[in-house]
Amino acid sequence: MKIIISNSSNLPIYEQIARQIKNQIMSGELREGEPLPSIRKLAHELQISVITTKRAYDDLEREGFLDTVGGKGTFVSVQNKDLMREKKMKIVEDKLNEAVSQAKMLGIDLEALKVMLSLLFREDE
Amino acid sequence: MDSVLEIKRLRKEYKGFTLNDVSFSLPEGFIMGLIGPNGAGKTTIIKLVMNLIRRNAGEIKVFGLDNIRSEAEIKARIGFVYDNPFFYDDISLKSLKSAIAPFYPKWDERLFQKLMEEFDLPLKKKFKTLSHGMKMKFALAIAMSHDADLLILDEPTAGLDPVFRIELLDRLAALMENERKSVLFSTHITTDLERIADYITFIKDGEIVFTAAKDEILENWAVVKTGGDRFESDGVPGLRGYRRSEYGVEALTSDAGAARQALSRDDVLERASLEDIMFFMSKGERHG
Amino acid sequence: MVNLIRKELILNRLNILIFGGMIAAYAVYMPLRKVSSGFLMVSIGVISAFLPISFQAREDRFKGAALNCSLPTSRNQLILARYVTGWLMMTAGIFLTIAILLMIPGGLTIVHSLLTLKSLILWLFIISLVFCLILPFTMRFGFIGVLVFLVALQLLGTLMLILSLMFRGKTNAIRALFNGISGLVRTLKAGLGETGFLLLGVLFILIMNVLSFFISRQLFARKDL
Repeated sequence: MKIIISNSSNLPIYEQIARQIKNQIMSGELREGEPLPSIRKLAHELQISVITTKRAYDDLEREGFLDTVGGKGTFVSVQNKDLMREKKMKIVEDKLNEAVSQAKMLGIDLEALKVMLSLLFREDE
Repeated sequence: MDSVLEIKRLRKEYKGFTLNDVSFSLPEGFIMGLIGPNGAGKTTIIKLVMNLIRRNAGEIKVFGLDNIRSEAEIKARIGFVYDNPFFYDDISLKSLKSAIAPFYPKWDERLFQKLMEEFDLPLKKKFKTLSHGMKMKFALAIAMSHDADLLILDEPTAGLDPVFRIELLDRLAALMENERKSVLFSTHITTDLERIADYITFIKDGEIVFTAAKDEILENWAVVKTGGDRFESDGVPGLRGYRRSEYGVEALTSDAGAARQALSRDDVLERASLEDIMFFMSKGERHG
Repeated sequence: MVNLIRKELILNRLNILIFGGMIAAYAVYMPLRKVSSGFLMVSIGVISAFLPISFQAREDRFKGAALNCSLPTSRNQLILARYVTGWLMMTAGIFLTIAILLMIPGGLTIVHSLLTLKSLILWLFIISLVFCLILPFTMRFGFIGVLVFLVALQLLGTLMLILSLMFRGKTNAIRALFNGISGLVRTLKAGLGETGFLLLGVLFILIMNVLSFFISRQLFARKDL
């Protein structure tokens, strides 16, 4: 698990942590059932308050990404495949919505947008 | 979650200064930073907890026990570092240790030796030959060698080089992996606490300004930067102090939410650091 | 208690050596000058009583009070330790003196005169007097308590002088007081017999120490360090 905290970001630290863990779960970097470090271990490693890491974990647990098994620790919860897919789709959908609004405002038509999309998709291949 | 330190309505009267009606608690397993300007009463509170001075009123409970009635019992579980290390100058570190260690049933000699090595402290040398930093390190080594459940540190980083300050914070962070260890850390160098403190208690002129979880504080307090005219006409919600310059006003608010709503386009709202809070509340001109 | 005593001994090692040396020097020097055993007792008694008092001086100098308060012990234990250590030092002083005397020519006779019950009790009385009077002052004022004590003594002496000058003549009240006290001592001695009087002496020493201890305890319990 990789966590990088920015002190200059306006985003509270617990949110930075939660987001990064969430992304890694969604991208598959963190697999289902994988154990996470305890909130205290994480706090030590990142040199931050335990309350902060606890909050991040609590938020993620509430959203269904993590499970805490009493006495054993915290694990990435088994993801409902469809729900996950839906969440992922939603994220991309939101971004595309933004792009579509911008395009319309700037007078770029659908065809041009489609071409752009294909090019961008193929960029790393 | 039990409190490892409970202070209720503590009062201490001196000729020119009174510690008045101070109450706060440190829950077990957390670090609390006691911050405030010099002379605010931080050291007084710590002296009262350690029974170096007598209180005029109030209650102090450590590990759930009265700090005077169960003095010996609780001190066996407390590691104490004072801002002026209290060891005899002309005695060697080794001898100082042999005088002190037997008092602690949980003394860990191996750990002590390891710390002495890691801190690079010469056992055979006399205490007075040590630099200030090394004296503090020695005090720390002693405090950390008997499995203390509560560490009380009074300005431990004042006058220390930045390298050791960070090392100390790292050690404290490592200690906190154990959920039964707690730390009370008094300092006027707030940047030390910015990251690792769980709770912050702010003292000023002998009174508590606030005691709360650090995350909560940093979320709710902010610094608003706005023009002088707008400040005069509209003010800032939750204002706690401000500073005027030729080009505008910087104002501290304890209600970041409301302040954010009231922002105009040119204004800037930033997270307040503990240092900002201390500064604006100590020196900044007050409103009204 | 053992820990507290050990701590005192370790932290004040040098003082113990120095005072031990002084006592030894006196023990060697005095018989050579053919001074009375009484004088020997008083001088060595005073020196050995001052050894534990010197611990207080060092404690003040190095903020030992903060150290004491960080250790798992109570104020009462600290005071008790001060008295116990004090007595340990003073008895050690007596043993040292006798040991040294035994080793030097002409010392044996002095030892003989010292090792009587009467002498020993008198010695203990003198030591107690110094120790028990000064210690509460140091509890309250730190080492300068010694100075406070000496000043108080001076003031008392001056007061006595003034009073005796005021009450001139045969009806001198102060003189009468002194005569009264020595008269009382003589009567007690005659009435109780030698042993009885000595027992009274021992009792008096005990009472002095206990009283001094309780006063010190009260003073120390309230003190801001």
